[in-house]
Amino acid sequence: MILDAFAEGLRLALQWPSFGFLLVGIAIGIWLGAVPGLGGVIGIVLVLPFTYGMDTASAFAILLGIFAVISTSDTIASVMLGIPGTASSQATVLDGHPLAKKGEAARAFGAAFTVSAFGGVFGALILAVSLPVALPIILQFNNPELFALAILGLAMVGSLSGRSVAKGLAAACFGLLLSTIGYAQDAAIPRYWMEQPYLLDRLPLIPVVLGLFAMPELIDLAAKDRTIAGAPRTVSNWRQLGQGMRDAIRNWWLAVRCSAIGVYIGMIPGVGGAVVDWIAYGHALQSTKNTETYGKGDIRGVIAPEAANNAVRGGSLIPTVAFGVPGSAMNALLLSALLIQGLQPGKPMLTTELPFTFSMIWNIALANIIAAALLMVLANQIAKLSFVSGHLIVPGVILFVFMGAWMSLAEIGDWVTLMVFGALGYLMKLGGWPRPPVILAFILGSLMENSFLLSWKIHEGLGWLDRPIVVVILALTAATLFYSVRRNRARDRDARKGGPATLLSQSEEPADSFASIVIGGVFVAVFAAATMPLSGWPTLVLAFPLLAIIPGLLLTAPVLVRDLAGPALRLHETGARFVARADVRRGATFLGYCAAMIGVALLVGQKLALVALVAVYLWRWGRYGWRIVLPYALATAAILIGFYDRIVHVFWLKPLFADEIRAVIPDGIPVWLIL
Amino acid sequence: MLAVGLLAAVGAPMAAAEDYFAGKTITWVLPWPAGSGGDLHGRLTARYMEKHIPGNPTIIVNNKPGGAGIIAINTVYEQGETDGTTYFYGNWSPSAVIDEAEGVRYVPEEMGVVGTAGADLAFMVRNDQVPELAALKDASFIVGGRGATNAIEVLGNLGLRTMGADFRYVGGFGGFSKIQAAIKANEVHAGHAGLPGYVKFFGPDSDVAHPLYYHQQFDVDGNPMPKPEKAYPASVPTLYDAHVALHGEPPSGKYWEAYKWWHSSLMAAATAILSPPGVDAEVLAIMQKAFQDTAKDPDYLAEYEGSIGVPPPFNPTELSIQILQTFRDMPPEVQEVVQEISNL
Repeated sequence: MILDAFAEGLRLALQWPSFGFLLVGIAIGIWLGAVPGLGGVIGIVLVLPFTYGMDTASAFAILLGIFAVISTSDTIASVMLGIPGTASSQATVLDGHPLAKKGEAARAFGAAFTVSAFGGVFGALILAVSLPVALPIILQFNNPELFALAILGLAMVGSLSGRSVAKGLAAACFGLLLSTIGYAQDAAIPRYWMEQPYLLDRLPLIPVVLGLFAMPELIDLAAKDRTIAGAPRTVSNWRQLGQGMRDAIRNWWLAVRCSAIGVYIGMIPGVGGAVVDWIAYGHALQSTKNTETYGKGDIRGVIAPEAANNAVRGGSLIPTVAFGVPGSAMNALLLSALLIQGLQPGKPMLTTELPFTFSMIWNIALANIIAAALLMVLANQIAKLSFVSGHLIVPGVILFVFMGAWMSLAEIGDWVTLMVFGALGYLMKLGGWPRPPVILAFILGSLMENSFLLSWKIHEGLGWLDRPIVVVILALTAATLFYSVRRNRARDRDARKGGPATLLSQSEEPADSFASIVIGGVFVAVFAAATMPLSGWPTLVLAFPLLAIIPGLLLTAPVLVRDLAGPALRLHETGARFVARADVRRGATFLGYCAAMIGVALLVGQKLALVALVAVYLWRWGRYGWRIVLPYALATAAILIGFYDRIVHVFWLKPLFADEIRAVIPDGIPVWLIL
Repeated sequence: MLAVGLLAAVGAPMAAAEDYFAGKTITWVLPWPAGSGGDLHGRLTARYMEKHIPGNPTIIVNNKPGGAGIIAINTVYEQGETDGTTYFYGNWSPSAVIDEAEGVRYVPEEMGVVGTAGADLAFMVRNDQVPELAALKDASFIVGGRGATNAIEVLGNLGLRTMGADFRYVGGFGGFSKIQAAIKANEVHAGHAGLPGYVKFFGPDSDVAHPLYYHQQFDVDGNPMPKPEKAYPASVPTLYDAHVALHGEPPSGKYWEAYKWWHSSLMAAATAILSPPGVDAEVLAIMQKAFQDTAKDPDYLAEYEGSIGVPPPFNPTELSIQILQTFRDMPPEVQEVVQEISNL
């Protein structure tokens, strides 16, 4: 019965015109995934109204085309720029970006796209055989289990993404604390909102992600005047692409295991997409040999998360169609689409409507294969960008970074958040503090607080801690931490003996001790300041911030003390040396340019300000002539007006001189061209 | 006095030039993120309103989530164009205004009212906990909810108190999608549902939970109105009828009085389309008429039903304006009961 439905699903997916719509969806999805800050939600929102009049198969083909390939094309930003395109491609940055820096971006793409296609297809197969047991498993994951799983995810990222487990976990605590900004889940009490309505809800994710990841890489490119690869190309991109594909085939068993992890973790609503890449990365690290190259551009560090983060899409469909429990915003939109097409989520989707459910899974698998093939062809051109001067890359990316951030709440706070986290991210990068734990904890924070408080209230205390699945997950968490600490100790021992360094690091640059001290100091100050309003809050409102603050302080303080005791030079001397660093000074100037752009935007509007930033950057930093500056600036204006204004209908800032500008715009020229 | 105010606010329909909106672009600011349930019905309503406004202007939807919905309405109140081209569409959070919640800077009474719609709500409970109405008397169950101060939860819990139910309330679920998941997993046993949530997650054939009773609407004078035909199965009684069936007498007492006030004064206009202060009454009248025409457009209603669920009860313009003008006049005895319910 299941095999029949499986075959019927494939037939439905391949029939015309739905297959054509799948191709359209793939094209849209590739674009949205590749541009930092866009993501799939906006694409599905824009396409959804067009599907009202379509037949069910075509409607889902276009939507699933977008849904499926976002995590294939977001690899481009992860590898080339070190920016996680979506939450589920964070771990790819760890090894993918170092590969690009070594001039091997095409190899990373070859491996990533191969296993993405493989993960999507194999994920579908695993799903087919797992469906009969899926329902009871999903029903076992209640609030206590979700909380435990989030803890495991944080332990994984905290201990795997940096050189120091203490720093990783402290960064995770910082992310958890950030997630508590805004109205508490249990009472109408806003926390840490500093009298700013912008902070009444939680801090928006995209400006924080782009600030922590995109800005530091852009600052680096701008400040160091280099290419992404940092070295001339020695092997052709096509050969690298082939090598990447061979890498993927050689590590097929790892890809199989990680695809399976993706499917099963994906079935767990809410947590799945965010932690899956880390669990896969951690699995790769713990189950393979010769792990000393992880974090420095090991291809297995790309294969594991990329195989998992495509498989996760198929898995996440199951709770959506079977229970009507969407695990993410994109799944929620697909649920709406189901209802629009007159389908009711529930058991029928796994029984009478099973062929249709399988056609959805097949659409995802096919989209992954087609997107991978398309991107393979494009990869050669994309990888060439890593050998182009950073000064030509920075203005284009900065446009999407600022607009991506702006599309969160369309408030000036979005840009302020971007800048604050940009500066913080740059210092964290220089100081060897891992950034992925901040983001993952920030993403999972509200879910964790919610499931913790609900578990507490439903079970009237902590009685839920002895539920079997909770015990198993917490045991895995303890094992992960134990393994990581032991690993780091062995590494330190080797280092003292002068043996080969076995570091896990985001970059191979040595950490700057002054930057590390500054971040440690900022964290301690933030954790300490966060205790101040606690006394006025009810227990259930202060409980979760305390869960972040206490371990945060206990982990950060020793790191800070060690850093302060460590350097041979005195603090003010390391500080002076830091300030004198040419790249740091240029980085600060770059941030100054961005701040000035925001000031100009407040006066005359964002379109003029962003075009001016691009032009001035190219002219002043890149020393380019008008032949480059003019077309680049015109293209920037075209994207701002054509895409963001006319298609997305962005809510623009109302500048101070709006009326004066309107008055001088000649009749016949639409205001939206300028403001 | 009120009648004079209403007349002034409603304005003289169609006095403004027929083509006032021709070639104009109207902006609707929504407090929900793109793709949310609210965003879907906002965009749908915008698409049909365009057709009913003389001159057929373009309506573009801007999502401005954040600040628990307050940022969007603050923006329209403070920065919206006063030529009738900017509107807020969404929940206007009257209880937050009454409580003087942090960040609220808008004054609903000063804003122009285009139209409002209510919500069809019901109490959902697991079949194995309360298989039928008669079992409510002896049942003891956990109700999962959005949070005790949420307007829907206040109404639902006032209803449960009116019915004399024995329940423990667990607030903190973000929305009904999470509540229904917990009901299905048997973590909690019941919850207060809106019609779209009921249709989306349970429907009439669910073998997990069923609507035990429906929260009926009240007219301008506070009289209970009958249940709309398509809202919930015909076998689902209104709370009033359920009380009569269970206890042999009509509901009465402080919870019932508070329930009636809360439902007719706040919940009846859950969603509103509001302009910034200072928009010309004649311009507003064009929009008010377009809203009423849209609410009666069979194509709109059919698409609403097909894509989102049974359309909400749309209020006449006079009732919308009255609610926006009088929502703060909460009697002290109602205030006391609401305070008690909000601390569950």
